[in-house]
Amino acid sequence: MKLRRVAVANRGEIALRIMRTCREAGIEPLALYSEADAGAPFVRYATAAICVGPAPAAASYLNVEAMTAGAAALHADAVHPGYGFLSESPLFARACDEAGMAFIGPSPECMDLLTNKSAARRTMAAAGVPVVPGYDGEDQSDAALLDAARLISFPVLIKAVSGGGGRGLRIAGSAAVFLDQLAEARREAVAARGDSRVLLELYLDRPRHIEVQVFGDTHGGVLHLGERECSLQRRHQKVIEESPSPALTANQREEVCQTAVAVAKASAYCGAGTVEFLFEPATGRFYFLEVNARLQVEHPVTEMVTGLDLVRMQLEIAAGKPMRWKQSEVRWCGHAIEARVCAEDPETHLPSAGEIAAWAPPVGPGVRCDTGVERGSIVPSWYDPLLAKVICSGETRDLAAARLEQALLHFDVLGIATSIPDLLRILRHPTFVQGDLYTRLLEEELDTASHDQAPPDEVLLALAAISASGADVRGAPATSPKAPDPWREGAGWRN
Amino acid sequence: MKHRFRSATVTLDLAMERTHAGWRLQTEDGRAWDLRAISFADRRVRLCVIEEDGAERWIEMPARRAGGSIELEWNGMVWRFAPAGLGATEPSAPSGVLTAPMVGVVAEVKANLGDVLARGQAVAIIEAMKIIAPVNAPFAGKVTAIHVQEGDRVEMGAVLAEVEPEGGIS
Repeated sequence: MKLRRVAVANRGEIALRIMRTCREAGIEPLALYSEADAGAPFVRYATAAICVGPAPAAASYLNVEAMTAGAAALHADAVHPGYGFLSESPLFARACDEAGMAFIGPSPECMDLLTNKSAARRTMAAAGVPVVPGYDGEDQSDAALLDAARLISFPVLIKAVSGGGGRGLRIAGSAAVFLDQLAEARREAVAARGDSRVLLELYLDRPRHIEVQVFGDTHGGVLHLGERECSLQRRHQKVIEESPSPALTANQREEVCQTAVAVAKASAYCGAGTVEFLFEPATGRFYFLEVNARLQVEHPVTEMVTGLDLVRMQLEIAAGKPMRWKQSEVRWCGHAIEARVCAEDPETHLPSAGEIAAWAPPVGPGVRCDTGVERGSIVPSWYDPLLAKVICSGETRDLAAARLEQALLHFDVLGIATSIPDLLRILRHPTFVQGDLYTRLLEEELDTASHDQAPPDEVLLALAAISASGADVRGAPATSPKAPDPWREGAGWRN
Repeated sequence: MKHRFRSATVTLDLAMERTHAGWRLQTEDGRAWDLRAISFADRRVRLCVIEEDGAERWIEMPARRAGGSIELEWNGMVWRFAPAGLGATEPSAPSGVLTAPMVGVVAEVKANLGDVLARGQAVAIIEAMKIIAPVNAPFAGKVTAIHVQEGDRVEMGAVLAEVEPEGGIS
């Protein structure tokens, strides 16, 4: 089967990134957008676009019927779901299939298995893949769950069965607070996915988040592209990701990658997927967490160290081709680190929405910036706050980190607050520099520190320069005591 | 020429004086710099500091004037300053007027008109971009007004509800 027209059922940076590869492969990219994204860069980049509904995601990007109808109206022969939204919806995959369009991802049956975290854990445990001690029983009564938590031993992690993005996740430190935390987790889980069921897991000591990129094709081929470490998280959202992990020995790397390949084979995996593990450095043990049956936000770090285009591989697999590479042909070179630049207050981490008044993403050797916004874009409050991903590579981790620091320092943004100051604090933190990461590092070591609120000298100088140039623009002698107030509206300022 | 600027956290007093080569900036704490080649156009400010040994150091950053204040970005941090007297306000005692901490949707209204709340009790939940922000009573009191319903879209600073301290406003 040859793909000619691929609809991207997503928005923002990932829509644009997928469309670029489509064009490189001679495929026409098609945009499905909500009213909030009319005229957005990814809509203009597509060869054809159609509005699928109003701004709220439930009415557009999460609306299976509207997205399927939109793709069909644009005569797509395949649909790429990106990440988030409908990317792991077996319902959407089936709807595309029924409308005669290929869904670029694993089969609906495979997704049924993997998106149900309890079922996935049972399958993996049966296949001999280690899982974190936990409870995933059918009995969801308070009493049964509390008994199970006591058996696992506290602290216990409460996770929604149909969770994701940190929703429906709670940590219960003791039996005394368990039922309260359980109620909160259930409430969030119902709000997010309409499913109140939870599972329990042992909460590990300074665990690191290690994940392995895998691919499977329709000819039974399975390949891994090495690991990524994503231990830097806040509220279970990844903040900085890198590859390779600074923690693993060659043997541990081989062990986790082979385990991931076994997981992919156990689920007859087809397409791009990520097998997530927790790694406990003290014991050297890996525990299977879950499979993300889609392209990940952080896939560029793998692209930077392998030189492969993961979207291109997805498209070829969807077209029924066998993978071009054998495992022994995959090569890794250097180190790559990605930072997620979000529209949020760097202190409170609350989202900031508004119009982007200035925007100049960084460039330079070893610097990649994936973004879906531009100067003049309105950042809507309806969707994920991700503005850009800055990915830097170098021969060593230190060089990649130094490049990332410089890239973030010289990333010009005005109009909205961004997480750049927060990212810079992380990059300069001694624990990050040493590579001694763990999943609670940000919450335990960074977010507790208070930050200097005094503006740096450069800001004083710039303010002074602006006031002086204001006086010059009006042509008034700046030393004149009668100089009009340059701050009054309509004082003839250039912006 | 003296200028006073206020941000959310600091007040700055800057004195600018013409010199033969450009400008001299002095701060309240007695520090001074010689500047020249100042430009502010196309949302960028650019200037050159002359060091004591005569060396030039150029400083450049995005900057713009927005709604009566000045916005600058340096090392990723966005600073917003208002000339003193034009919109800057002093911090005050906690208000019973509860406002949205961010742009979003009212996910839940947790209190009813007339409810008596404990300090810190949630009145409403605002949700945006996967983030849930509770809006809590700043003190113990009675709910005297609720201005939003579940599902309403709110701007940052929109009034959500009003709470009166227990025993009325003294």
